[in-house]
Formats: sequence, structure tokens, C-alpha cells
Amino acid sequence: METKQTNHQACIIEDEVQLAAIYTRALELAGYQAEAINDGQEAMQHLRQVEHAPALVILDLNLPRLPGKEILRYIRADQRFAKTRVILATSDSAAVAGEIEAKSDIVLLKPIGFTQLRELASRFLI
Amino acid sequence: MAKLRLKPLIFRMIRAHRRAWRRSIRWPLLTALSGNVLLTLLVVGLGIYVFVSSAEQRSWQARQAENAREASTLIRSFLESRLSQLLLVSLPDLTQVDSASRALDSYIQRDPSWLEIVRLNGQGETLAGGYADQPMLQNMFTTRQAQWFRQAKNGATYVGNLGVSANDTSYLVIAVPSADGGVVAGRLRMDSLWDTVANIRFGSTGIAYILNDEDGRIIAYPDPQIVRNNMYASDTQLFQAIQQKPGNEWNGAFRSLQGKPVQAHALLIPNSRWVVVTEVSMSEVRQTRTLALQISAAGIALLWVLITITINKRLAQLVMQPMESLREGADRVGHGDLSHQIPNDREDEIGRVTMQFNEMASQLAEREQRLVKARDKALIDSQFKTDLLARVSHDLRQPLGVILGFSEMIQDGIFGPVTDGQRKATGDIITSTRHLSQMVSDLLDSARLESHNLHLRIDQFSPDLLLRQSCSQLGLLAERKGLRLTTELDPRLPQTLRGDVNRLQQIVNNLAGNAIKFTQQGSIHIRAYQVDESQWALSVADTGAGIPADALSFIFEPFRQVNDPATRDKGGVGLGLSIVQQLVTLMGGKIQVESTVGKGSTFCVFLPFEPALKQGD
Repeated sequence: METKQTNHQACIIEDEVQLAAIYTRALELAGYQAEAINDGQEAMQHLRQVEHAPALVILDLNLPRLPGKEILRYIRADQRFAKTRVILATSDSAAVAGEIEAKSDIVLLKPIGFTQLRELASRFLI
Repeated sequence: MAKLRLKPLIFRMIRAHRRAWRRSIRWPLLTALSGNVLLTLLVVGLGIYVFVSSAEQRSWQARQAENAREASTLIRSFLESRLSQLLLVSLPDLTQVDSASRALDSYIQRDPSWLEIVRLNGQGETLAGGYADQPMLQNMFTTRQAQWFRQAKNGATYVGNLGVSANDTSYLVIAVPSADGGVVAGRLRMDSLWDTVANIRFGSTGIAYILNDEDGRIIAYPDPQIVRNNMYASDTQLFQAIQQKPGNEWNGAFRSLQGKPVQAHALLIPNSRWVVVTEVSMSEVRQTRTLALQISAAGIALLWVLITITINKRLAQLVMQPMESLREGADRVGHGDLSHQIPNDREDEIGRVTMQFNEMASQLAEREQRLVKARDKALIDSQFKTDLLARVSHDLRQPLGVILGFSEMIQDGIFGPVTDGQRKATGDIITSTRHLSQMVSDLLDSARLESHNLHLRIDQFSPDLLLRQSCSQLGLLAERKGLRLTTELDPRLPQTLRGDVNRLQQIVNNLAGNAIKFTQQGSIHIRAYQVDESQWALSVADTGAGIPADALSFIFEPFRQVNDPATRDKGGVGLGLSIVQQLVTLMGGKIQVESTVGKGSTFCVFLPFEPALKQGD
């Protein structure tokens, strides 16, 4: 399958490298320019410096060095990311509550299927 | 009206008293103690009354006897002195008759009790005489026949009967023999003597009177009319007693001439036929004892009330208050205040009970502390277990995600063309991975439910969407088995309901997933409907194998599955229904199952419109 050429940026923040690779492939197939970051702190730095706000962020809540919900708060507090959609990837549905759930667009319980993510992401582009 | 209400009022009081009696030992104790006190007081009072009345009676008897004796002595000495005077008159010889007459006159003048004195010779001729009113003893013809003359002439002293002169004066004839064989006689006016006796008074009702013991004629009486009217006491009990009982002194309770109860004392005056009677009204005799009775009754009542109050106070102090503080202590300890100690400075039985109680409370407190520690430890352990499970589940999901992701990528041909065999193999890998993932979720949910760490997220949701979601999530699964999956929404249900939609979805998916798993052919029907004003329901009906009646009791227990070879290999760890039931309970609802083996099962979840908030956040 060929990767579609697109201007839609996607940012995948996931510490598990193989999962990040699967998500990247799925988003690329859905029509995004995907970039994976494996560390919380690093992701935060990237988001602060990014010129074009990504259209989509796949965010793992369980990240080394900086928890995912801090990143989520940052995204939702910054006007640059007003149009950014956030898909939360969590391994514990019970851990997602209140504020976090409200600030994200979709919460997906791991394991997230390749097909499921690809279809979901491509629907965001319509 | 008042009379009509009185009866129920009395009954109510009796009932209230019985209740009070049953409810408190104070009443039986107080009644027994004060009853004994009352009995003792009554016995003492009776003793005092008997003593007082007997002393009073004796004292009255003594006073009456004394007064009677006094009167008797008075009369006797009066008569004796007059008889002596007559003897003196008899001494001068006959040669001095003229001077004797003068002497007699002077006697009569000096002593107003003399009405007449005469000295007669043996033939009854008057030798000398004097009189104050009229001569009655100087008739020569009657004198010689007179009893007084004959008796005195024979040498005996004569004391006659009473006579009454024309002017109503009571008199008495007395005569003594003279030295020359003649007789000296005199007439004595008795009125003043009788007046003296009749004027005797003692106490406030005590009187004296004289009666004749032969015929009961009243000789002297405080009321002169009675004497004047010649009244007789012959039919009185006293007179009968005097007549019947020999002796010269009588006493007892009788009736007076007027018929009133009296205590009387009668004394026969020696050498006469006269009986002096002293009597006093019974009410006066009993005055002191009546007073004593009244005073002792009042005293007993007062003393009894005081003693009862004192007993009551002591009972309250010794028994009731310690009991109350014990009760209060037990109440406080019973309500969890185990540190409560009842103040106790007593060494008696109640003190020991209190001490024992305090010890029990401290032991309880100690035990509770140990239990609290154990519980806290268990809670920490349970929390630890949940946390551990959460970590394990997270760690399991990461590789599951990788397996699932790559398998799906292979199946999608991302790594190159895929043969049918490979496609089928990756399909199985995907199914198993999803299954494994579900089991991990169930285990975590189960652990959370058990340690009360699972919180509901109550929000508004659309039941229609709930059903459609289930349909879309399970539709493919049902289709693969050739089963029809249908949903039905009760139009009476509101458009939006309140609840944890994710957990409700979990419940429906679990029940419907089970239904698909255990149904070989037919259909699965999911329905949401209104039950009544306060609750709605979700039901999942299938046309599957059904559940045997004996299994219905344990299907909701964790890790339990129906032991049937046909269903044993259906997968799962047996947590699904247990989680469903615990979730439903958490939501304040209940689950029911109806099943017929071979025909199918229907699971019904009843939920309140206003979900339980105890665990919600």
C-alpha cells in the first residue's frame, strides 16, 4: 500500500517503539504526515517549538519523564492547537476520567488495532 | 361526660403503672421497701395506740374512782358528824330540858343543814325540840309508830330514807338512842350536800350523781329537774350491773340516763343505800387515743412519705443512676465510642459490674484497633493487588498491541502479498489477541470491583445510541455465526438517560456477547424499555442452549461457568457475568435471569432512572 502525499501533520507520542511504528504506518496510510516521539519531555519540547500545529495527536498517557495528561493540558491550554484532535491511548479505561476525558476527542483502550486507528484517523480528514 | 372518661383514665393509669413496673426495677424495689416500712410504722403506731388507750382508760378510771370516793367520804363524814351532834344532844339529863331546847335552837341556827332536832322520852313525848321550817318529828301519835323512833329506842342508830317536804326540800331523818332510854332524832336538809355532789366535775364531761341502790331512784344529779321529777335509773345497764354483781364498786362502759355512751364508776356509800356514780362521756375517754390515733396516722403518713422519698433517692443514687450510666455507656460503646469509660469509685456489686464493663469496653477497643489495623492492611493489600493488576495489565497490553498491530498489518498486505493460509492464521492471531485483551480487562475490572476501586462516571446518554453501538460492535460476530441480532427501543423511554454509558455498554456487550457465544441458531434480541416510573430495563434474550436450573444460582459467581462439554470450550475466564452483576449492583439496580434449557435465556437488568451515586464521582 502506498503512502498518500499530504500536508496533514500527525504527532504520535508513544514510548513503545513498535507500537509507535504501527501507529505511524496506520496514520500514513490514512493520509497523515506522521512523526513519532517516544518520550514525554521530548514531546513537550517538540510541541512548544512546532511551527504548524498537528491536525492529530495520538497520546499515550503512560510516558517516561512526563505524564501524558500534562501534555494534554498543554495542548488544550494553547490556542495554536485549537483545531488539533487528540486520540488518547490508554491501557486502563478506569484511569481516564473527568478532565482528561473531556479534553480528548476519543479515548481508545489498548491494544489499539491497526485497522481501527487507520479508519478512525481517515474519518477525521473528511 | 366526666364519669364516662374516668374509667378509661383509671385503666390507662393502671396500664401505665404496669408498664412502669415492668420497665424499671425501681418500682418493685421501692414498693417492697416502702411496703415493709409502712408495715413497721403501722405496727409501731398500733402499739402506741394500744398503750395510749389503755393508759388513758386507766387514768380515767382512777379519776372517776377518786371522785366517787371523795363524794362518798363527803356524805359519810356529813352523816357521821350530824350523828355525833345528835349523840351530844342526848347527853344532858332531863333536869336541864329547858336549857336543852335552847341548845337545840342554837344548833339549828348555827348549822343550816338541820331542819329539826327533837329529844323524846321512851314514850315518844317531846322533851325538847327545835325546827327551822315546821315540826314533823313531834307528833306524839305518829312518832311512836315511826321506824326511826322504834329502831333508836331499841338502841340502834337510824339513818332513814329521803323524804321531801312540802316546799320541795329533800330531807333525811336520822335518830340515835339517848342515855335515858329515849330517842334523839333530827331532820337533815340534804339539798346542799346533794348540790355539793352534783356539782362535782372532772374533765369536761365528767359528772357525779347519786342513786338509791334499792329502786334506782336518782337522789342527786347535776340537772335538778331529773331529781325533782323523781326519775329512776332502774332500767339502765349500770343499775342492772349494781343489782346483779355483788360488791360495793362497779365500773365499765354503759349508757347514761340520756342514752349516751359513757364510762361509769359506781361506789356504794358504806352504811347507806346510796350509790355514788361518776361518769364521763366515752368520747372524752377516747379523746386522747383519738388524738393519738390522728397524730400517729399523720406521723406515719409523713414518716412513710419521707422514708419512701429517702429510699427512692438512695435507690436512685445506689442503683438507678449507676444502671443509667451503665446503659448510657453500653449505648455509647454500642455506637462505637469504645474509648468511653464509666466513672466508677465503688467496690460493691454495681462497682464490679461497672469495672467489668469498662474492662470489656477497653478490650473491645483493643480488638477494634487490631481489626482496624488488619482491615487497613487488607485494604492496602487489596489496593496493592489492584495496582499490581493495573501494572500487569498495562504491561500485557503493550505487547498485545504490538501483536495485534503487526498481525493486522500483515493481513492488510503491508509487508507484502498474503496467502489464504497466512490470512487465516493472522486472523486467528487477531481474534486470540482481542480475547486475551478482554480477559485482561475483565481481571482488572473484577479486582477493582472487589476492592471498591471502580467508580462510575454518571452522565447523560442516549439509550438509542447505546443499542446502536452494541449492534455495530457485535453485529459482525453474530453475522459470522449466522445469528440475527435485533434491537428494540421502548418509545416511552426518555431520549436521554443518566448513567455510566461505558459501563452500560460493557454490560450489554457482555450479555449479548455471551448470548452469541452460547447460541447456535436463531436470534439475539436486545431491548431497552421502561418498567415503571422509577426504573427502566435492558434485556438480552437469546434462543440458545439455556442454563440448567441448578446452575442459575452460581452463574454470577466469579470464575464459575456451566459445566457443560458443549460450552466449556467457549473461552473466557468466567468473570463476565460476575462483573455484570457487580456493576448493576453498583448502579443501584438488579439483574434477573430466566432460562429454559434448549429454548434460550433472557437476562434482564433493572436500573433506576436516577442512578446510585454512592460510588459515582
